[in-house]
Amino acid sequence: MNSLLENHLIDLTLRRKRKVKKPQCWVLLSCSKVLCPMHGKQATECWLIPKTHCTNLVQDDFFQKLSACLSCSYFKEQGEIHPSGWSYFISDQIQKYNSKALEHLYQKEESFVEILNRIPDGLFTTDHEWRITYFNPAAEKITGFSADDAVGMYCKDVFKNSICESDCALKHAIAEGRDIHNREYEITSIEGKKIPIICSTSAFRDNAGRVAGGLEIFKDISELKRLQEEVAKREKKYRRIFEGSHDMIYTTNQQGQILDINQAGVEMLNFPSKEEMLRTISARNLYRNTLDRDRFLAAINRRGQVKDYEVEFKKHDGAAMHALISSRRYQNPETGDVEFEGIIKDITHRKRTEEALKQRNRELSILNSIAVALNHNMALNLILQETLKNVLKVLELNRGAIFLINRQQEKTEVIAKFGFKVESADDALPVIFKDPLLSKSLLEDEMVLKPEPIFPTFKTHFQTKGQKFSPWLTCFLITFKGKGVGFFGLDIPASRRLSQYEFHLMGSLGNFLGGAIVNAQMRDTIRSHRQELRQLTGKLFQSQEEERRRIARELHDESGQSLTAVKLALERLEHNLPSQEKDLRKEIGEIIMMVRRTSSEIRHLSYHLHPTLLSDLGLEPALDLYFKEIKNHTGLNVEFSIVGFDHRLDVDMETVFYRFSQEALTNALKHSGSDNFRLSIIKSYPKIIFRAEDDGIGFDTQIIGKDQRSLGLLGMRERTSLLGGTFQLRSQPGEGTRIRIEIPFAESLSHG
Amino acid sequence: MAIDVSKIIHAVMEGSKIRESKGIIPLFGVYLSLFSVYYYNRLSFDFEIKMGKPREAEARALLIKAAQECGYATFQGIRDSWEWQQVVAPMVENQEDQILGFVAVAVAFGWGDLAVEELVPGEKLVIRANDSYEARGYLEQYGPAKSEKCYMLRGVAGAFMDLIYGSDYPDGLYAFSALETCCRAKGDTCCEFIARKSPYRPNA
Amino acid sequence: MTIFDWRNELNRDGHRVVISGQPIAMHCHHYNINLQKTMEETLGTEGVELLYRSAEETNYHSLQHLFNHYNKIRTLKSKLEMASLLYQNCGLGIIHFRKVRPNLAYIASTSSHHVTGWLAKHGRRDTPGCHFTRGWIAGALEVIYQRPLGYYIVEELRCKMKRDEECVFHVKER
Repeated sequence: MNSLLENHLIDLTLRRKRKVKKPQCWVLLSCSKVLCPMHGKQATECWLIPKTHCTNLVQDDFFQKLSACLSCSYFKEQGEIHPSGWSYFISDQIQKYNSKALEHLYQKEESFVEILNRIPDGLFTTDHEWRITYFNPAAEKITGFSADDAVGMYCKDVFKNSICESDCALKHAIAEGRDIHNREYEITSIEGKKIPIICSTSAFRDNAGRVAGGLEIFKDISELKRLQEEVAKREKKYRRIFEGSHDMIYTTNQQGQILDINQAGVEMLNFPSKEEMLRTISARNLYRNTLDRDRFLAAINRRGQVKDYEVEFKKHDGAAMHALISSRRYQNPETGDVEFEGIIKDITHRKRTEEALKQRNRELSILNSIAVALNHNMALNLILQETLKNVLKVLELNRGAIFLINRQQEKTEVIAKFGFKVESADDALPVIFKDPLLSKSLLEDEMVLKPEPIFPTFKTHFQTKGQKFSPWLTCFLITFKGKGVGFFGLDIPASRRLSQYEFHLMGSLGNFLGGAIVNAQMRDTIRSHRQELRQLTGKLFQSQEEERRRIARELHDESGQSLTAVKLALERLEHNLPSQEKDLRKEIGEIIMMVRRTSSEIRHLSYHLHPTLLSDLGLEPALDLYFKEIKNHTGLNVEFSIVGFDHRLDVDMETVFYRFSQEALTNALKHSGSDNFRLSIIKSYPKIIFRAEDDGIGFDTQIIGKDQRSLGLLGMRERTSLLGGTFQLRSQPGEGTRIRIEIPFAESLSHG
Repeated sequence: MAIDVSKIIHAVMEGSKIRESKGIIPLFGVYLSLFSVYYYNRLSFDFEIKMGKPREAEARALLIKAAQECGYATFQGIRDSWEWQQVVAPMVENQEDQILGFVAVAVAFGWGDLAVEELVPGEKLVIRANDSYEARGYLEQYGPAKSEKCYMLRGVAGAFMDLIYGSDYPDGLYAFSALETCCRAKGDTCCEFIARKSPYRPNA
Repeated sequence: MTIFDWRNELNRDGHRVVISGQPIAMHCHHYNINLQKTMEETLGTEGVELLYRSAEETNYHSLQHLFNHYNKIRTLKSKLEMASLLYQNCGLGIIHFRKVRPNLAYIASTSSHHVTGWLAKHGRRDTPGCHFTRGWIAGALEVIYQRPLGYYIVEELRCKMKRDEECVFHVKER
């Protein structure tokens, strides 16, 4: 007790002695317990009695308090004035104290129990034999047992769980000397319903450390379990999708750590196991080019997601993989970290297929370009030049050439080349085969190759003067019908290896081009032959006309003159013949008539072979006269018109149209049986149009050239062709015949 | 340390005198009732009679089964109880001691003067009783029997072996089954129960 | 009630356990409830009757022996008190003889071995299940009112096994 307190007590004692009814000790002592409800109020009893302001000190050491009271003058004074005496006062005070202390304890326990009763979780306590000593309302609700029944029962009988016997949480708590938290059990309610619970237990021990009982708090987690099961079911479902997907499904973080990946992803990247993959590899290292990862991060951080981001990955074994990433960015609600989740498709096969398709397209484009060239009758060297360029482009090569095998001259010739720095004259430079025997075989006419999709390659090179280094060219044979026609010579660098597809392409090209080359060569030959034939036909027509003109002239000039001389001689003879010679006169007269008739026929024949009127007056008068004679002799109704000629054509052209007219009319007369024949010649710059038609029986135009009567028509067509014109014949049985000829016309063809 | 039967009997007797306000005797992890052996004998033997001759075997099997199930659960509770840990466990040195402990508890419960005659671990248990309340009850009530009558002890003998040598609780029930080879109710000098591994497991 | 001191009644007679000299067996709730279930399931109402009758007869004879032994206990009230004390001390539960007349009685039980045992082993049941207590009450009242065995019939109106608040038995003459 400090000196201040002592002074106060002395002072108090002295004052009390003077005046008993003074303020209570605790007021004068300036009690520090300002929170006490009695602080500052009048008290009637000593502070030993719990209902005074010292109520909250009942738990303090009783004997300490008692000794303090016994030394308190106020306490002594109260005892002395007590009617039953000091001893009674003391025992009364102690009894009051005890009962109040007990009451206080009960109140405390009651309020404690009240708290426990209000706890929403199940709570029970047990004694050391595991018999329930307290069971709160929440526990009643969960188990179905009333507290009345449960208290006194063994907890295993209330909770009815087989593991109560073997795996009791309370026993664990005791055995392990620590509280057990959040153990999950399944209990059986009084209704027989299985209820999952989560519990925490704690053992009570007495002062000696012996187990005095236990406490268990438990919660019905049926709803939680149901939700967990639902979540698990969904998790299972999504896990099934996750694991069953053929595409990689993953989550990573910003730093590239792979947080989860499905089995497809592990297999896709050739890792032995998911664990090893998660342990060893960073997402960044999957990218063949790490800049792609940076670009991916930039895009996903900017837009929150990326779709169909195409990159090249590096597998565990180093193999390349084309990947298509679709991913989204999210914040992990648990860690707050930014993470990415998404799907990665292995598009390697697709890329290869696309590449192969592109290659096929390029190959097709080569074949197409060749076909186009062939369709356009392009010159062979141009076709091959174009083909070579395309082949080099597709194969991504810089140099190459196409060689043709000339068996007649027993040599190979460069017909197209690209990328060689050689003069054009070098085309004639000899080509050296690495295998001389092969060269000999190819040039020999007898060698027949079996048909193959692709022939083995061989090596050649140019024998150049200027170039120090002439590379060996890899050669692909071009064949047609078992014969080597030529070959591609490609400069393929050692680092470049042709794929199987490329070999097949060259094989296909070799076979395809062989036919094209031979066809082109044949076409050239035919064209050349046709040109010669046309020249010959033209010459023939020209010779024919000249011959006709010569014969007509001879007939007219020589035979006609001779006959005229004979006729004059016979007329003189007749004139001089005596009158009695009547028979002779008559015979001479008949001979004169025969001569006159022969002379007329010769004249007529001469005119027919080459009408002088045509030469002298031109086409229209000659044809007018000709048709007039025909009309007179046959009765055929002929309509003739000639239009647009302001001056005469040259002689040869006039002769052509005259002969066309003659032929058309002759055909009509001979074969058509028509009554009407119409012919017109129209000059319509830049062509002259000849039209002839009859209303006869017509004929099948397919027979032209196959029988005698159509030879005239064939002649007309040939003449037309020689003049660069077009010939059209339209006829059907019973519908007459129409001929239309158009001849290109230049003013230079005009007469004079 | 040998099993001190008297110590166990003393514990049971003292424990069963402790009453609580609800009139329940919780002891050795179970709730005990003290009731006349006449009741149990009347119940068992009248049940057998009421079932009639055709269902005699079924009645016996049911009574034995009820006892074996009871014994299995009861003695599991007993050996798991605080009292067992305090009184019996300190005397138990091996599994076989547990059976001796079980028998001592059975004696304490007033089931008869049971004694283990033979115990082959995991194989065989022979228990003998010169005075079982079932045999005595039958003799007094119905006269000499034609067959063995100690159904409760027969079931319990099997349960002892189930608990010690069967699978972990609660899967070991009916691993063993007992026969009553002689019975005082028949006129034998004592009742003897031999538990061996079950040839089959009856439906629980 | 000073004559009957429970602590002196429960004794051992050699290997046997006796109460007031009568042999008893200690059985746990597992056995008692298993027996009840076997009877009910195998014999139905006949099994229930067997349980009732066995308890009635046994208690009749036991109490008769007890009252003979303690012949100074004569009043109805003291006999009822002694009976309920025996019930409680045998671990059978608490029994309140609320309204007892020679021809009619209402008796309640707030706790019983069979209720605790049944709830511990099987939980709630749909029908009243205190057949043992019914028989025990019948036997007790027959002894106390000096009626022959089977004189009373006891029905259980409410049962804690059904989750009623207490078990209520109605006793009437048969």
